[in-house]
Amino acid sequence: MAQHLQFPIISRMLHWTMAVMVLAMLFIGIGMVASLGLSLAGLDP
Amino acid sequence: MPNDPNAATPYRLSALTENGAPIRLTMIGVAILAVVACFAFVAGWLSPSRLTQARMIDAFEEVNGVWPGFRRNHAKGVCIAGYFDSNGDGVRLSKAVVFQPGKVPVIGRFSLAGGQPDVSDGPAAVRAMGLSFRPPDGEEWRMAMIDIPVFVVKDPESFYQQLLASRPDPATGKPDPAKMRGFVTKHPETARALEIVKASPFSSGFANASYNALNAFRFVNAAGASTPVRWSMAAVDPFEPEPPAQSAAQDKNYLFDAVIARIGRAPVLWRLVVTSGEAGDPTDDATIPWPSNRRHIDVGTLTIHHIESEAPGNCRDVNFDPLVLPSWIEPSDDPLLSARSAAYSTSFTRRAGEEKEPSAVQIPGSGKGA
Repeated sequence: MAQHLQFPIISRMLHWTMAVMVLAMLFIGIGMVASLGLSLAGLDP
Repeated sequence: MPNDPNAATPYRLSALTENGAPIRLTMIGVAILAVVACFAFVAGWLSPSRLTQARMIDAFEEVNGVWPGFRRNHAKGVCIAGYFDSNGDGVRLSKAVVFQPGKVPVIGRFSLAGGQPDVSDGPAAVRAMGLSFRPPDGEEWRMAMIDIPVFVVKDPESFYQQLLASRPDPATGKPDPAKMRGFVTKHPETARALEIVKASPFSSGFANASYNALNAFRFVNAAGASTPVRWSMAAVDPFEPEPPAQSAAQDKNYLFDAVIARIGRAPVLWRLVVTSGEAGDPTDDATIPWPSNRRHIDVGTLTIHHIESEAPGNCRDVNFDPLVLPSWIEPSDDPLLSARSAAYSTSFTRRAGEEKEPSAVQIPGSGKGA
């Protein structure tokens, strides 16, 4: 039976949280510079 | 034990030959492509007809040509400076520091609407005043106002369509009047606004013109009460109508030369008049005037005592973005505000990376401004 090697749970959570946040940052950024309103990122006044 | 063939490492290449590997790889590829496609959609790359700030400025460049180093709109201008003397009456509406009694330094810019920096001054040219209030706490208040009573379009899309309708016809080099008429027919709010603009004559110069911040904002006072407002810089110099025929022989800078001479003689004053809106007054449509019986509050006096040509570090390098606001002054729901902010930013970014040419407006005898 092959032993299953994995990073500790804390590292995996950090990794995937970072992944989601990096993507969110890219989307919010491109959304803001490609729109004439502020609503995309929920920044409506 | 790196060389033990039985050691389970999930990353060995032979995993690629296992049953089911192609399916798993396909799923990874699909996930990546989906993210890239969403990104392209948000960026507007998949929707060429969607209006973005870059396309708005592209339209200005198409209509006016590209004049490197200059603003894409309001290209011809001159720098001014002075101070705002607050009388304290604005405090009831807004807790912003500029409304505390006392003086605040101000820099600004007079300009003509339009994207050509060498355009001749003319009777029909819309004049503008951009200002940056600079109180000592560093909270700037910027505004860009023009000398017509209402704006002629109500949202960014209409502005863009109007800009395209004013594109010069390649055959004549002039805008096609039929296209402009077509635009106005489709936009009754523009037709109504143009009637109001026509009914209010231009003044004879920059110094005796009143400038209106056409978009609505909100003032918030110390009690937290939020009031919809519009404001104007009302000229103290007596109004004189523009003479009907400013002859063609006239100096192409006659409006700028006149205000340079006027400020050379004595400081020029404006009163900052805030119009306090009431429930039901439109805050999201700058083509509609508010009823004339709304309360007008004189909150202080703007004094302009200095004028100089655009040069590095002065008003030339300021983006008069109407959303640069201090605390206690907030944007309204007017869609033009964020569109202006976005488009000004693109114009600023483009010209910031370009070689600068001297302005057509130079101060006689100063030898500065190149």
